[in-house]
Amino acid sequence: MNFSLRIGIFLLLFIIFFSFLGPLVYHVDPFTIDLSNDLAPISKSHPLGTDDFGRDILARLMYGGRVSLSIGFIVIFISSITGTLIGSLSGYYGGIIDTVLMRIVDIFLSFPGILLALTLISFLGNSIANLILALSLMGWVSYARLARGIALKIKEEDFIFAEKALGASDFYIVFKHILPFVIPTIIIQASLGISAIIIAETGLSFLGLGVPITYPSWGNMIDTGRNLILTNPLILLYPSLLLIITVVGFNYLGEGLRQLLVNKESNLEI
Amino acid sequence: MRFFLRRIGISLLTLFFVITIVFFIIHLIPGDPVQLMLGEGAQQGDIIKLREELGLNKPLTTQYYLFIKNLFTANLGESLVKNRTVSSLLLSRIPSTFYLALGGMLVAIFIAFPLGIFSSKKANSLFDKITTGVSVFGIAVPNFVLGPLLIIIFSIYLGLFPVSGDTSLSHFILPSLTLGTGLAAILIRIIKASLEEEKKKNYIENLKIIGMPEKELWFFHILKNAMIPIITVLALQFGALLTGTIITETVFSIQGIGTLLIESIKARDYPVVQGLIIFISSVYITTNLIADLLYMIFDPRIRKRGKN
Repeated sequence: MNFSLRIGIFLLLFIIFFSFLGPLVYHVDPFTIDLSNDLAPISKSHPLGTDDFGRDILARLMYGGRVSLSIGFIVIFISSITGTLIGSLSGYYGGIIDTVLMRIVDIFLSFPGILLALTLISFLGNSIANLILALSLMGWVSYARLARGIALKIKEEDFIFAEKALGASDFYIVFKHILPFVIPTIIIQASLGISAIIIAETGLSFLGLGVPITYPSWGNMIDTGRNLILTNPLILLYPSLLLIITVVGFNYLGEGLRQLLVNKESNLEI
Repeated sequence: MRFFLRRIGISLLTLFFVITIVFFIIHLIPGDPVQLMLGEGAQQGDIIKLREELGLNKPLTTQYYLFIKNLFTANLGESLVKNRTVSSLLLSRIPSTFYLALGGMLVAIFIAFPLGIFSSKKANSLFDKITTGVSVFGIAVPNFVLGPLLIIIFSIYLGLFPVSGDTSLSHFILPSLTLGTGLAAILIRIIKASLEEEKKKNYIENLKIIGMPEKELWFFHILKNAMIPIITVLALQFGALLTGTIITETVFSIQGIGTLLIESIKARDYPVVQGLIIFISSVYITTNLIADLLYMIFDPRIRKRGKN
């Protein structure tokens, strides 16, 4: 356990407890609108006050955290698995499949990710499912590239030739020998990549093109806060602070994992 | 030379793919765009009329051909909402975005170079640690958080700069800071890494042994050679800066390309969205191309490798 890993785990545990266990202790509904009590200051019934619709801010922060973290995890799961499989197969088989897939990767990389997400959402409409689709499409390429690089190297190793001589199928070799070398690197990349996904998601929500406004999300709350900045700057500060803690937490976690795994396995790339 | 042409060819091909993908996304999405534009209660006559106006009644291949042909004359079609051509809308919004991007770039350069160079010279000092901390913070704080925070501090409490708008130079100071800080954070890392690498090289040791003064060593050798990757990253990041302007413009209500894109997406003004996406990606692809070409010019090894 190194220093970065400890800080990362500590910050993320705080965020996870706050978002997922908080609502078990704090039973206020984040959706209840109470226009007679809008922009209420800090009080016993509303520890962080209420927003412009009189909704409880603390409850919305907790719920928003769940939304952001869940989307982050789902997207990273989809994009890293897709990317890893495509990259490993591409690197292993080589030839025309590899050339075509890597051209596609190049095209994705030469197009700003956030613009791709914006394009898809603008034409598909904004819903959580479309947001997940757009963010996953934006993310899979970096995993594909990494996985391919490692697969290219491993497939030239003697033990792979030995396996082939023994009659092992391609499927067996990729899953049994290539993937175990690819996965540690992918895990590091994924833990670093999740903060980029969360920033992209909250950014799109801030623009009004991410999580639909019917759900509380940190991005939507920052947007609300931006509009109330002259009168109630605190509304903006709460979600911003939680977002920063989350992003810094994931960055430390990724850095910590990198140090841990690179020390252990000398053949890792990053 | 062959390598240069090859690289330019790849960029053109990418641009062509992007244009094609954008075209087909718009034309193949489920649901009728015309219906979507006119809303639920649209008259059948209006739908047919608009479809003809947009050329949507022609076969897809013809539409695609016309679309590409029009692109060569910078004809991006007409806005559905604003009664203006897409190109004129785009042109009217370029200056603000350009100033903002330029401001962001300058902020990044003025923050990153002194901090990066000084903290590399005094590695592991307190100053170096603080710089690293600032850089971690700069990467972790997104534009839509930093912008409003700067507004609270500098506009509301200190009253130094206007909250939003784009009519004078002082309007651009906070947005440029917002946009530039993230880039500065990345740049500091690159500058430090690049200088560290250069410092370790044998020729530097040799120059030290023959007694070259430290100032001369830093400015004429270490910095000069370390600049190659730094300039490349800077050029590459210009594209990223361009997408960063979308959010920064929204935070500060600047009438640039970014806010036009968001407005048009919300108003379902498809021709404008299509034109802007093609424009932004062309700029992005071009800056990437320039970055690569610069790298080749500065570093002859790349050219040689390309020949093999």
